[in-house]
Amino acid sequence: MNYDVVIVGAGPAGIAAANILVEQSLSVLLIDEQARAGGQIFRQPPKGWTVKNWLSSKIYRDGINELRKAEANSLIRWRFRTTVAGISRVAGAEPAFRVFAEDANGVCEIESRFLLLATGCHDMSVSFPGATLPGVMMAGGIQAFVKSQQIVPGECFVLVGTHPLQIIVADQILKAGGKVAGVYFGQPLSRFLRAFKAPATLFRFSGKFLFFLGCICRVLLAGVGIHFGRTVRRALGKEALEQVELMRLDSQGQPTASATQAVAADRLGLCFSFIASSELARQLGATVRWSAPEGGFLVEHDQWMQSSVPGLFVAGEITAVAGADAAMEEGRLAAFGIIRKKMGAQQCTEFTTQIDAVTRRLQKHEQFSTLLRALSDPEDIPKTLLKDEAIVCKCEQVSVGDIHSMLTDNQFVSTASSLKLLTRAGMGLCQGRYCQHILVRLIAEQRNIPEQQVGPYTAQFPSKPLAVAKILEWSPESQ
Amino acid sequence: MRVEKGINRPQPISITVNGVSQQVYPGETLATVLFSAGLQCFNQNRFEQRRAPLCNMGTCFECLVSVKRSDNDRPQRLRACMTDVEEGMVVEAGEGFSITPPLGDRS
Amino acid sequence: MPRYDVVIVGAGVIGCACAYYLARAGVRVAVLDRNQVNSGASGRNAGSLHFQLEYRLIQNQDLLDRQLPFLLPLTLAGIEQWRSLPEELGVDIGLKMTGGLMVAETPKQIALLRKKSEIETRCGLNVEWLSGDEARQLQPGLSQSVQAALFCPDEGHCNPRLLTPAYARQAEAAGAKFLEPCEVVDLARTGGKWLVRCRLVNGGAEETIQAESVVNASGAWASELALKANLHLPLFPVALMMSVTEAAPKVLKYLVQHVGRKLSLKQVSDGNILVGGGWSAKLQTSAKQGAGKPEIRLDNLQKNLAAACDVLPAVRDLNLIRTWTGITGITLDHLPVIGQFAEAPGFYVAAGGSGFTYGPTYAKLLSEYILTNRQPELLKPYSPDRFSDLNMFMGQ
Ligand SMILES: Cc1cc2nc3c(=O)[nH]c(=O)nc-3n(C[C@H](O)[C@H](O)[C@H](O)COP(=O)(O)OP(=O)(O)OC[C@H]3O[C@@H](n4cnc5c(N)ncnc54)[C@H](O)[C@@H]3O)c2cc1C
Ligand SMILES: Cc1cc2nc3c(=O)[nH]c(=O)nc-3n(C[C@H](O)[C@H](O)[C@H](O)COP(=O)(O)OP(=O)(O)OC[C@H]3O[C@@H](n4cnc5c(N)ncnc54)[C@H](O)[C@@H]3O)c2cc1C
Ligand code: FES
Repeated sequence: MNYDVVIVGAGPAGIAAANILVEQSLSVLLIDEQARAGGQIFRQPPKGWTVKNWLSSKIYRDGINELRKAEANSLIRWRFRTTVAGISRVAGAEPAFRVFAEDANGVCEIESRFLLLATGCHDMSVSFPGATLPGVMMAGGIQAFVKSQQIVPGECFVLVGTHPLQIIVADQILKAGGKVAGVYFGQPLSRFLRAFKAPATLFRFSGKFLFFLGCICRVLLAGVGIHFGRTVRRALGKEALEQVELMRLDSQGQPTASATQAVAADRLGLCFSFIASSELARQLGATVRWSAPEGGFLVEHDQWMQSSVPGLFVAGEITAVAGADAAMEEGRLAAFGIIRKKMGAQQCTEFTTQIDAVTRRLQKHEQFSTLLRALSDPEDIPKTLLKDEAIVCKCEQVSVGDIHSMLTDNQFVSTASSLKLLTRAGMGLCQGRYCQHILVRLIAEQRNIPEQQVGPYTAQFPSKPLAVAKILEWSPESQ
Repeated sequence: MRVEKGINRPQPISITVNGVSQQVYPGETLATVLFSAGLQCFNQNRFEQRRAPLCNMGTCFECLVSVKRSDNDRPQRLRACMTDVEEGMVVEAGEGFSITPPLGDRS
Repeated sequence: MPRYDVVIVGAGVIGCACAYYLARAGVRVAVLDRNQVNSGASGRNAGSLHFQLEYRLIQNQDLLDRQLPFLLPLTLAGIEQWRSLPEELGVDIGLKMTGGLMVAETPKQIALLRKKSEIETRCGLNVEWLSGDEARQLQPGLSQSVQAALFCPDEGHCNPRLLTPAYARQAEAAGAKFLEPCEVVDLARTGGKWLVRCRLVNGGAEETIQAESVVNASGAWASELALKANLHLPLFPVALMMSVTEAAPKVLKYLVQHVGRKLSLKQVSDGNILVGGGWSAKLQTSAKQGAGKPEIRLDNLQKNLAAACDVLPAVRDLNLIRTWTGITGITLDHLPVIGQFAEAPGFYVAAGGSGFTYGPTYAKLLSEYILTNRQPELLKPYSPDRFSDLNMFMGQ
C-alpha cells in the first residue's frame, strides 16, 4: 500500500484537500475514525438512512457541496472506522511516512510520500466538582447524537459555556423534540454586543449572523432562557446527574457573592471552546505554538501549510480553531503546497489564480474567526471553576489539589511532561486529551512562566489505546 | 428517544444487550443503542465510579463496553460511540461492567 | 560568580542521589540539568531491581572472573540500601522487593540458567531453582512454556516516576540548590577551581559557576560532557523502548525476566503492566545528540510484546497505552564508570551500568569518595583510570 498522500481526517479540511489532489492525479487515501466523511461539523447520518432537511441552512451549503463532490469522486480512496495510532518517517532522502493504523480487524502500515494531518479538534473540558458524573457531556458530543445518530440523548438538557455553538446545539435539541432547561454563557452579554463594534465583519458574514439570530429566536420562542454571566459551579446527583448548580460571574469572570441556583437536568453540555488535536503531528516532532483562544498547542506551518517536518502538511483546526470554512481553504492551500512540492514551483504557475483566491478567502474567514474568538474565549473561567477537589485528570483521578501540592513540593518541576511523570495526570486511556489544557495553565500560573515554556505532554505512540493482540497479529513483511 | 419525524431508517437487526435482545438499526452506534435503552451509566472505571459518554467522538474513552461480535468470540472492550451495531453482537454494559480487564484466564 | 563546593551536572537518579548524600553531609551543592529533574533515563527506565547475574557476565568467563570478587559486596550493599530507602526518603517510591524470577523456555535456556545458578550459588547470591510448575505455583498466570526459573528473593522493582524526585526533594531540603534548566557549555580548571559555564535553556543567558569539584552525572551524554573538560570517556548512547498496558487487576507479584530473550515484566501499584527488556529504538543521528527523541521501532515493539505474551499470556487481552523511549549509556566493557579522573583532579563521573538498580549505591559511594577524597574499595573496578590510555594527551 503506497500513496502519494495519506490524509488523516475526512473533515472539511481533509476532503477539500483530497478534491484538489486527485484532480492533479496524485493518489490519495483519506483515513478517518468516523463511519463517514464530513468531520465534526458534518457528522452525517449513517449510510442508508434518509433524513429530511439535514443541515439545510445556507451556511452549510459550501461545505456539503465539497463533501458530496469528494464522496462522488471514485479516485479518492477511503478508510473509515480506522484510527491512526502512529506515524513514523521512512529513512531516506524523500519525505515519506509510514502510517500505522488500526481498524476492527487489526493493524496495518501504509506508506505515503506526503502526509496531510487534518485531525481537527475536540471540545475543551473544564474541571469542577461533579464533572465526572454520568450525564455531564460535551456539547459537541450531544450535538453529534442529534445530527448524526438522530437521537435525543437525554431527557432534559442544560448547556453551559462561552461558545455560541451552544445556542446552535440547543436549537438542534429542541428541533429534535428534546427539552432544554437553560443556556448559560459565562461571559456578560456586553461581550457579545462587542460584535456590533465590527459592523464590517457582521455585514460580510451576515449569512452566519442571521442564521445565529434565527437559532436564538427559536430557542427563546421555545421558552428556553439564555443567560449571561452565569456558569456551572457543581454538578450534583447520586448515581448520575440530577441537578446543575449555577453561579454568577462578574464581568471579569470571577464568582460573585450572590446566591447559587440549582436547575434540574439529566444532561449537562459543556461548550467552552475547542482544543486542537495536534498529537499525531507532535508525535512526529512538528513544532507547536501555544494560543489558548485558538485551541491550545497548534501546529506551526509555512505559507503552504507545511509543518516544521518536511513533507508533513497540516490543515484545519489543528493549526488554530477557526471553523469549517477556514478549514476547507487551508485544506486547499495544503493541497497546492503538496502539488508544488511534488512537481516543483515552476510547474505550478497555472494554479496561481486559484491559490490567490484561496488565500483571499482564507484572510476573509480569519476576520470572522478572530471576531468569534473574541466573543467566545473562555479566558479565565476554566480556572475560576477549579476547586481543590475537582478532578483534572479524569482517567487517573488526579485532583486540582494534588496538582497544587505536587507543584509546591517539587519546585524543580515546570513542564507538563514532568508533572505528568510525577502525578500520572495524562497517563490514562484518553492520553491526556482532556487534562492537558488545564494542567498547562495551572503550571504556567503557579510558576509564572509562559504556557509555551510549559509545553504539551510528550505525544507518545499509540495515539489511542491499541489492543496488544492486534499488534501481535500484524505481519510487517506482508504489507 | 430516537427521533422519528422525517427519518427513514433501514430494517432493524437484533443484538443482545446485557442478556436482552434489542431491535436496533444498522448504522447506529452502541452508544446510541444504550442511550435509547435508557442506560445512564455505561461502565465502572477502576476507581469504581460510574461512567458514561462524554465526547461521542472517540477521544474520551469513557464509553467503553464489552463487545462480542458473535457468541463464541472473545469479548473486547470497545468505545460504544465508535462501534457500529452488527447483527448478533453481544454487549455487556452498565454499572455491572467494569472496564478493568479480566486477567489470568489464559495460559 | 556563584560558588559551590560541588556542581553536579545531570538531575537523574545519580545526580539527585549524589546531591542528597553530599548536601546531607554539609557540602554546598548545586545541581544543574538542561532538562527537567528525572527527564532522562532515570524517569524512563523499567524500574527493575535486578541482582541476578547479567547475561553478558555468564557468557564472558574472563570478565566474570575479574568481577566476581567485587560483585557480591556491591550487590549486598545495593540490596541493603534499597531496603532502607523508603524510610530514609520518607515517601512512597513504589518499592516492591518481593522477588524476581528469571524464566527459561527451551533446553538451551535451561542449561544457561543452570550455569548461572551454579555461579551465583558459588558466590553467595541468594537464588532458588524452580521447575516450571513450581514457578507457575509461585506466580500464577505464567505460561506453560516456562520450563524452569531462578528465583531471587531480593529482586523487585521501584517506580522510576517517584525515586528521583524523592531524592531531589530531600536534597533540596538538605540545602542542595537546583538551578534553572541550563546546559553546560564549557568546563575548565584554573587555579585549582572548576569553572562551569552554562547557558540558560529559557532565554539563553550564560553564567559561570565556580566549584571545587564537578560530578558528571549526565547519563548517556557523559562522554560529551567529559569532552568539555577535555577528557575522553568511551561511553555510548543506546536508545531503548518501554511499553505500558492499561491498568489490570493485580496478578504479577514478582519481577519477571528471561534468560534467553529480552524481556522484563512487572506490575505497578496502579495495575499497569510494564513491558521492557532492552529492545532498541532508533537513535536520531541527524539531530544534535541527545536532542532528538529516538524513533520507536514497531518491529521491535512487536517482538517485545510477543515475548511478554509468551511468558504471561494474559497480556494479550490488554490494551497498550503507551510506548516510549529512553537513552542510556554503555561503556566498552559494559561496566559502569565511577570515580575521579587522574588527568583532571576534582572531576568525577558516575555513568553506565544498571544505573537504576545501582544508582543509589553508585551515588552513595561516589559521595563518600568526594567527602573523604579516598576511593571506596567497592568502586575500584569501575575507575575511569581503566580508560586512561585514551586520555594520555588530554586532561586539565
Ligand atoms: C464535537 C464537535 C462538534 C462541532 N460542531 C460544529 C458545528 O455544528 N458547527 C460548526 O461550525 N463547527 C462545529 N465544530 C467545529 C469543527 O471543528 C469545525 O467546524 C470543522 O469540522 C473543522 O474541520 P476540520 O477538517 O479541521 O476537522 P474535523 O471536522 O474535526 O475533522 C477531523 C477528522 O479527523 C478524524 N481524526 C482525528 N484523529 C484521527 C486519528 N488519529 N485517526 C483517524 N481519524 C482521526 C476525526 O474523526 C474527524 O473526523 C465542532 C467541533 C467538534 C469537536
Ligand atoms: C528504557 C530503559 C530501561 C532501563 N531499565 C533499567 C532497569 O530496569 N534497571 C536498571 O537498573 N537500569 C535500567 N536502565 C538504565 C538506567 O535507567 C540508567 O542507567 C540510569 O537511569 C542512569 O541515571 P543517570 O542519572 O546517570 O542518567 P539520566 O537519568 O539519563 O540523567 C542524565 C541527565 O543529564 C542531563 N544532561 C546531559 N548532558 C547535560 C549537559 N551538557 N548539561 C546539562 N544537563 C545535561 C540530561 O538532561 C539528563 O537529565 C534503563 C534505561 C532505559 C533507557
Ligand atoms: S464518548 Fe468519548 S470515546 Fe466514546
